[in-house]
Amino acid sequence: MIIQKTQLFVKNYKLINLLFAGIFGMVFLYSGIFSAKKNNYLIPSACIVKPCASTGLSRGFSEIMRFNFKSAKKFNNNSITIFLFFLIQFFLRLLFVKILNKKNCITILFSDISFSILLYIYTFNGLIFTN
Amino acid sequence: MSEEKTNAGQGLGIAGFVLGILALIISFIPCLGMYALVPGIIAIILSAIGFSQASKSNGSKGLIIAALVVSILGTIIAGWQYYAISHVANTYVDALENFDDEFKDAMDDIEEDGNLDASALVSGTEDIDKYIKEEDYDKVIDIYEKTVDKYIENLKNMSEGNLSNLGENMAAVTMVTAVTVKVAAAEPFFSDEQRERFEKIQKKYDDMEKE
Repeated sequence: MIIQKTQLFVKNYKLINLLFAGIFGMVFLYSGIFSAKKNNYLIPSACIVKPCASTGLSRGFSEIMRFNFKSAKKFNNNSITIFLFFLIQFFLRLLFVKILNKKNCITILFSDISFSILLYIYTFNGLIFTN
Repeated sequence: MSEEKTNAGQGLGIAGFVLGILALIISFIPCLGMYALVPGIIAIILSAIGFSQASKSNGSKGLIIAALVVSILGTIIAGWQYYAISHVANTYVDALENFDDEFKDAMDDIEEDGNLDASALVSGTEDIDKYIKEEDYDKVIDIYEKTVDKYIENLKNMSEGNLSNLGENMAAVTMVTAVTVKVAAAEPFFSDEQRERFEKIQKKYDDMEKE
């Protein structure tokens, strides 16, 4: 099927945004279903020797989903900022799906790349550079 | 962007790109990063197939190349994380194995030389029995003091991180327990002077335990 390159780009971009929104939505769902009290998470901790920077992140997310922000900070000090990354990205993806068209696609693409990288560095900074 | 292309390989390219970005996001996180190997490798495979399809059918390759780049980058970082974690884990396991060997050696020392160590510390618990029978309580207290002194000395060495005499330490712990039981049984027969001396040694022992 022959298709104009811009049209293909917009179509792909929208699909990618929808997929990411779905994945971020699943992160929220995962955090909502599993709780810190029961500690019944499907993904086991990778920190086998001693607690590391990512320890308590799942429990922290679960507590945020239940609006227990103080408790979330106790589980992992960076949990709130990282959760914020997923939350902002979730709404950003939905927004881009809504506003993306042939005219603004390049502007949105570069704004998206720049903003997402900066947001990632800002929110994951404490987690990545502490160890 | 007015060039016309087919959409061959685009579906695989999108899947590869999404998984690749996910792998890249996760790969930087300490410990958790090694899990990014799974989406990273899948993303590389999908992108490679997508690239091949796009090449054959004049498909758009921009997205597929981007997918390949992010997934390779994510996989490399995740691989490094996996290497780092397995290296730490191996070091930990080695240390545990060495500790087991050291501990086994110490236990063997106690088994083989326990009596020798004990006799070096004191004349042995059998001597206490002998002195109690003879009602020579000064000698009983002498043995008790020597045992406690040796125990305290070993405890100090251990608290300073010196574990080289683990066997002797174990022997001292065993001795001090056995001697204390026997001396406590003889205590009602002590003179006031002997009791005072006995209590001083006990205090020394208790203070060290607290420290």
